[in-house]
Formats: sequence, structure tokens, C-alpha cells
Amino acid sequence: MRYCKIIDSGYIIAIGTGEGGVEITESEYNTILDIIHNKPAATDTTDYRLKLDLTWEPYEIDPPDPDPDLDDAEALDILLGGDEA
Amino acid sequence: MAFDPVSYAMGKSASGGGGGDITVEALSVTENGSYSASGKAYSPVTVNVPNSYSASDEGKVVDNGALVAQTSDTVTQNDTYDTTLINSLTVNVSGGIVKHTGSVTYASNQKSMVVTGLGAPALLVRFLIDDYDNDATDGVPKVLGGCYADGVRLVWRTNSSGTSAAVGDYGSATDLGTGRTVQADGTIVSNRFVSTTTGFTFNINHDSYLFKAGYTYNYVCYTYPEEA
Repeated sequence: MRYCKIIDSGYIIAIGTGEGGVEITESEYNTILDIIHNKPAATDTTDYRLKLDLTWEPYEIDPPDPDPDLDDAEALDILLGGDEA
Repeated sequence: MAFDPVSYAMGKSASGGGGGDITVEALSVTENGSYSASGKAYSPVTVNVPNSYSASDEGKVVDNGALVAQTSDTVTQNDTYDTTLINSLTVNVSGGIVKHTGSVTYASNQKSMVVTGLGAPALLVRFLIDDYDNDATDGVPKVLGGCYADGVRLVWRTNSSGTSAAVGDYGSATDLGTGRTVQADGTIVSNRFVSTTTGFTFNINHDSYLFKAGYTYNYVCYTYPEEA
């Protein structure tokens, strides 16, 4: 069986079996799997991503868009320095 | 276009080992003995053939000094086959379906799931059929999202509570219809697409569903020789 890890921007996004990603040993796969299963609990404002050295790095979760329904005219007004609708 | 089984007559061939062209000479052996072919393109051989024959030996081959019947074999997938004592191989081209299996465990919640498989140009990639959580704490695999294949049917199920439950308890099911599949860019299109590279990648998206960190999602899909 082929084991692999998927890396993006310096972080391990996932591990898996099958094609794709960077091939790793079964031992490394099991090590990372155990680390993922013991991931620190996320909060409403903080989650964690797995670095290549297999440590967790906290990061702030983006808050929800306060005004997701901004239309084009309102956006243009903001870009031109006007008041936000 | 359907592919009919194709029969290949198997023969021995010789090739050079990197030293330029060589001329292969036929070696005719008519009696027992050891043959050394210095300077020739065949290796020394030792021949031990039976010394007597009968009419029923017609078509037999020599195996360690004995005459034995040739056999045949049926091949259903690409591979290298030992043709010793086999005078023909039948290759069922139309049966060239390749099964791709694998799993993904994400370190963080993801909105999309990527499935990669090996393939070849002009392979028909048909269908991701299953992904499920087999790490359920209650030991009951939960179908979190799946493409159920009767060949053409794709159904996603989502678990709003995120807790363990039997498959049938999943309240929200979105039937994406029949004759659908997931294209390389994640678009739900038809029941097939043609790989144009040496492999393929599915990017499975679902608007209201996250592939959860720590869960292992297994998948199966198949590639077929493309039909014209």
C-alpha cells in the first residue's frame, strides 16, 4: 500500500493512501495519524494547522463577513472613500 | 465502440543489452547435447529432448526433458505473464477496468476532498462511489457523504448533528440525480469524463458539508477504456 502526505504552503493538509501527494512510509503515516487524532481542540476563534515538524500552530479563524450582502454600488462607494452603506 | 477479445500469439524475442545492434541467429537443435555459441547472439544452451515420439505428442512442448501439452491462459488486466508452456494469451481488452482505492485523513476541516488516481490519456473515469468515516468512536461507520453507484447515481448525505448515527438516520440527503459524476474541477456533470493527462484528480466539493479533521474518508473509483 502506498502512503502519502499532502503538503500546502508549508503545512501538512492531509495524509492518505493511494496516489497523489508525497510518498511516506507506513510508520510516518501512523505517526502523523496519531498526531492528527490528538489535535488540540479548536475554539470559536482559534484553530490549529499541522506544521512540517509535526507540531500544531494556532491561527485565528476568520470572523464571518459582517456584511456579506454588499452590492457592487456599495462596494464602489467604499473604494471611492464614501460612507459604507 | 466495443472491444473484442484479441488473441496474441506469443513468441520469443531477443534484444541487445546496450551494446548496439546484434544479429539473432536461429539455433536448430536436432539431438541432445550441449551447445555453446561463442560469438553468436544466443546463450549456450543444453538440450535434452525426448528421443521417441508418438502421434499423440503432436503439438506438445518440452518441459525439463518431458513432452507436455501446451496450455493457454486468459488475461483480464495489463501485467507481465510467464508464457512458459503457454502458446497463446487471450487479452480481454474490453475488460480493462482499473479500480482505484485510497483514503484521506485531513488535519483540518476541509470544504473539498481531493482524490487522485493514476491513469492514461483517453481513459474514461467513472465515478467516485464511496467515502465514509471508519473511525467512528462507536465502531459504526457513518456514511458522511457518498456517491452511490449503480453506475450513474450520485447521492450526498450530510449529518447535521455531527454525531454518530446509523446511515439511515441522516436526515439531509441531496440526490444529485442520475447520469452524473464529479469532474476533475469538482463540477457535477455527466456520468463520465475523459482523462486527458496521465492521471486524474477529483476535487469533491459540497456547499454545506465539511470533511472533518481526523476522520478517514475512503474512496473507490474506476477507470475504463474510453469509448469512441
